Amino acid sequence: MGISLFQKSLRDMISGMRSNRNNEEKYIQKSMEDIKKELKSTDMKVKTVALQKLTYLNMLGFDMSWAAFHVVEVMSTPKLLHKVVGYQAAAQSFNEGTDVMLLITNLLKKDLISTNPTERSIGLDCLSNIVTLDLARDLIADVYGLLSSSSAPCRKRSALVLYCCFLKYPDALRPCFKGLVEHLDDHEQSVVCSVVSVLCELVIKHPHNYLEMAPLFYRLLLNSTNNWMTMKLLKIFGALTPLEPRLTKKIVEPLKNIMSSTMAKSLLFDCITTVCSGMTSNEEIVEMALGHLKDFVLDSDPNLKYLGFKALEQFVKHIPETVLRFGNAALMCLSTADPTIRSSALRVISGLVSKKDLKEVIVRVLEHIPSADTAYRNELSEVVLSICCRDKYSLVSDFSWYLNILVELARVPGSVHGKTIAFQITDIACRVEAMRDDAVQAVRSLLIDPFVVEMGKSGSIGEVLKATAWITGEYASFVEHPKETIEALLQPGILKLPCSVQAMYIQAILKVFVHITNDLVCDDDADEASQSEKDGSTWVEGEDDAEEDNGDEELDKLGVVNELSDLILAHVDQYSDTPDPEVVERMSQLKAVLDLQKGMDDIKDVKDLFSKLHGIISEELQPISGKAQKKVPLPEDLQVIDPIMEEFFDEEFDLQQAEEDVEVADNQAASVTSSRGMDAAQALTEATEEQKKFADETAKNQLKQHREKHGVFYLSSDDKQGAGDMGEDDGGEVENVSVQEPPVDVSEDSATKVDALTSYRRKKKKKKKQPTDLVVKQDEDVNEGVDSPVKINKNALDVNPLAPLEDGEELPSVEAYPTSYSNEGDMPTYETSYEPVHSQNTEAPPAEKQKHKSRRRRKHKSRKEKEGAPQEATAAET
Amino acid sequence: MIRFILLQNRQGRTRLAKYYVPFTDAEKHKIEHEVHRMVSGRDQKFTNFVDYQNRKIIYRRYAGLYFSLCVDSSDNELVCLEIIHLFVEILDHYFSNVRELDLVYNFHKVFAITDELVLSGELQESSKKVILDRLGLLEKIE
Repeated sequence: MGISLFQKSLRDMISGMRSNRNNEEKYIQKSMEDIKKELKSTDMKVKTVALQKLTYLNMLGFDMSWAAFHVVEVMSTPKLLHKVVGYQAAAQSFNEGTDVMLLITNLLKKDLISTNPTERSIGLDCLSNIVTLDLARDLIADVYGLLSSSSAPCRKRSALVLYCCFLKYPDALRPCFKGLVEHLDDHEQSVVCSVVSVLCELVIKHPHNYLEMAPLFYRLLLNSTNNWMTMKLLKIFGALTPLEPRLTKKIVEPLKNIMSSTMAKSLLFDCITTVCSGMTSNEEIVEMALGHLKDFVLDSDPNLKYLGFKALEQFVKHIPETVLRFGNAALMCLSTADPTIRSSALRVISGLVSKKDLKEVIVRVLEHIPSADTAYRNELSEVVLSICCRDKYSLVSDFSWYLNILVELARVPGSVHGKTIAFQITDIACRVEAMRDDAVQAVRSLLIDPFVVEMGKSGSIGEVLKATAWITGEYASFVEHPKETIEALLQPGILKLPCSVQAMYIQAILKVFVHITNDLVCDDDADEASQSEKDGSTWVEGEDDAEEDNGDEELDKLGVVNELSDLILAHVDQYSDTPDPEVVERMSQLKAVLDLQKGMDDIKDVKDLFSKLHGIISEELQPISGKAQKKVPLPEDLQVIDPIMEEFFDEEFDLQQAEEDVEVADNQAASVTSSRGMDAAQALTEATEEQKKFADETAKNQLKQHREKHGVFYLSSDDKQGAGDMGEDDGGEVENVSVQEPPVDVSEDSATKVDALTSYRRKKKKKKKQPTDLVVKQDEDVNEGVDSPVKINKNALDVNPLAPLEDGEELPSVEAYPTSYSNEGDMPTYETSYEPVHSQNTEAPPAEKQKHKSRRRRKHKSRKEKEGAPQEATAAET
Repeated sequence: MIRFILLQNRQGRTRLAKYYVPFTDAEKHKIEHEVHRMVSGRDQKFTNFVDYQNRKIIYRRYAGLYFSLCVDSSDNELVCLEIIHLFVEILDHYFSNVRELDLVYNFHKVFAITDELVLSGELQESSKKVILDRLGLLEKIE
C-alpha cells in the first residue's frame, strides 16, 4: 500500500517520457509494469491514476485490452472524478470484442436515469463511443426517454446518441422516429439542430423513405437562423430533389435568397452543391450558381479554387454545355503544383471536350507531360486515352493524327498505360481499314528505335511493342521497307523483352518474310500471264528469249529471298536459349519454313510454297461482336425442352423461364436454352405473378390508409394529374419495394434449404435493373428489406420510418420512462371507472387488453367485491 | 459524419486521437502513420483537402500541430475547416494561449473538450460560449 506515496501521476510520467527521449521504450515498459501493479491495488485513487496513465499510453499505440476489467471497476465507482477517467478509458479502448461489455450495461443504465446531469452526460458520451448491438438494444429506451428530459443539453446529446444506436440496432429506428421528429419543434435551437443533423445523415443514405417530410424541412429552412442548421437542411434537400422534381420549384426562392445574402463561403458552397445535385433543370438558379463558381475558380485561395472545380465536375456530368466557359480556366490550372487541383481540373476538362476542340485540348494537355512527374504524367495520359476512346472513339475525327498521339504517349517514360495504348492501336488498325497503312507507318518508328526496345525491358511499353509486331506482321502488305523491318524485328535487344512479346516478334518475322517472298516471286507470275495474253502472238516466238530473261530475273529474286532467309536464320538462333516454350515453338516453325525454302532450288516450288503460305496468312482477322454467340442457330434435332427426369420436373419453374426472356428475338428453344443457365435456387425463390400482384395490392392499400391518416405530410399538388403522379410514383416506389418481398409460399422446404444469401432478379419487363441481395424472411413486413450480412449495417436502415408501426414493433419497455405509442390501437387505456362485478359472476370481466396493472387491480378488486358481497349477505341475514 | 479527429505534431507523434468509428489498434496505428505522411508532405500553398480511402481528410496546421479531420465524401469541406478553427479557439481560450505542451500534459481535458464539441460523429454545439460554460461546470467537479 506504500505504492500510493510513490505513484507517479500522469504529469510525472509524461515528464519522465520527455526527459528520457533516448531510451523511451524502456521507460514506457517500466511504466507499464508499474501501472499493472497499481491497477491491482484496492485504493480507488491509485487505480484511477494508473488508468489515466494507461489511457495516455494507449493513445500512443500501446495495448490496454488486458485492463478491461479494471476499467469497469473504475467506471463503477460513485465518485465522479474517478468515474470520468474510467469512462474515458472505456471510450477509447472498448470495442465489439471486449468481453466485459456485458458488465457495463447496467452501469450505463444507472447513469442514464440518474438525476445528476453530469453523470447523464458522461454516460451518453461514453455510450456514443462504444455502442454495440447489445448495448443499443438494452439502452435504447433509456436514451429515448432522455429525449424528453427538461435539460436542453441532455436532449441535444440524446438525439445524437440515438443516431449511433440506430446504426447498430436498426430496428429501433421506426419506434423512435416519431418522438425524434417531434423535437423539431423544440424551442431550443441546439436541440433542433441536433435532430436535423441526425435526420440529415439518415436522409442522405436513404432519401426515398423521407420524401414525405419535405414540407417539414421546408418550413425549417425558411425559419432557420443558424448557418449550421441551414447547411444540413440544404444537404437534405440535395438528397431529396433528384427524387422529387417538384421540390426544385419550391426551394428555388429560398435558395436564391440565401445565395445572395450570405457572407459565409461555406454556406454558399453548400447551396451550390445542392443546386448541382438535383436542381440542374432550373436555368435561373444554375446561372446564379455558376456565377458564384466563377468567383471561386478565379480566387487565389487554393481551397476555393479546388472546391470550384469540384462543383464544376458535378455540373459537367449533367449540363456540360453551360460549363464550357470554364474550359480555359481549367486548362490554365493544369500547370499548378497542387495535385488535388490538377486532378479536379482534369476531370472537368474531360467532361467538356467536344469533337471540334478535341485536337486543341489534347495538345494543350500533352504540353504538360514533359515537365510533369511520373504520377502526373500517368494521370495526363490516362485522361487523354479515356477522352479519345469514349463511345468507341466518337470524338476522334482524324485517326491518323490520333495514332501519332498514341505513339507519342507510348514513348512517355514511366508510363503504366502500355496495355491500353496497345489495345487502342490494335483496335483502330483492326476496325478502320483505311487506317491500316497509317498504323503500320506510325508504329514503325517504335519498331526501329532501339531506345524504345530498351525501355520495354521494364515498362509497360513491352505491350505496345507486342502490338507493334502484330500490326506489322498482320498488315505486312503496307510495309514499305521490308528488309529494314525484318532487321528491326531481329534486333538483339528483343531478347530482354518479355517472352510473349518475343513470340509475337518471331511470328511477325515469318509473316513479313512470307509476304515479301510472295510479292517478289509469285506476283510476277500473274504479270507474266497477263502480259502473255496481251501479246499472245509473240508468246510462242519469243518464248525462249522471254524465258531466258525471266530466268535471270527469277534467279535474282531467288537470290534476294535466299539473302533474307540467311539473315533471319543467322539471327534467329539467338532465341535458342530461351526457356519459354512458345518462343521455342515459333522459332522452330520459322526455321522449318526457311529450311524448306532453302532446300528448294527450283523457283516453281518456291512459288508454290509461298503462294500457299501467303494464302494462309492473308486471311483477315476480324473483331467479333459480343452477341454473336446468341445468334448462332441451334440445330434442329437438339432437345432441350423435354425434362430429363420426370419426377424432378417443376412446371412452375419452367413457365417462368419462358416468360422471362421476352427480349430475345430468336426462336423459343434458343431463349429457353439461354435462360436455363439461371441458378435453380434463384428460380425457386422468385416470386410468382400472383404473389407480386398480391404484394402490390397490399402495399397500395397500406399507402392509402397512411395518406388518409397523415395527409398533412403529403405534398399538395396543383392539379389532379399531379396527385395522380404522386400516387403512382409512390405506388411505383412501393411496388418496387414490394417486388422484393420474399415469396414465403413458393416452396417452403426449399426456402429453408436455400441459404440466406439468395439474390433476387427483377423481372425484365419492368426494365429497371437494381439487383439487391435480400434475405428470405418469414415475416411479411412489406417495407423492410434486410441485406446480406456483409452489408447489413448499411442497408438495414433502409426502412420507411413514417409508415405505421406493426404490432411487433415497439421500443424495449422501460419502467421509469413510458414510451409513446404511435398506433392508436395500442394506446393504453387507463380507465377511471369500472363496472363492479356481480358476485355471481366468478370470472373477471373479459380482459381485451392485457398489458396493464389496471387489469390486475380490477381483478383484485372484483375478487374483493365477491368476498365482500357474501359477507354482506350473511350480515343481512343475521 | 466525422470519422476521426487527429492531432499530430510535425514529427508524427499523436497528441490526440479520437475515433467515431470502431477500429482495431493496428488499424489506428496505420491510419495515424498514413495521415501524417500525407499531411506533412503537402506544401503550405496547397489545398487543405486530401482524398483518403474514398473519404476526405481536411487538415490545417497551427504552429507545430496538424489538426486532421476525416469525413465522408459528401461533407462540406469548408464547414470542417470551421470546425477545426472552432476547436482551436476553444482550446486557446480554455488553456489561455495554448501550447502543444498544454495538450500533452492535459490530454484527458482535451478529450473532454472534444466530447463537448463533437458527439457521435456530428457537431454537437457550435457556440463557443456554451461549450466554455459547460467546461467550466465540469471543472468545478474537480
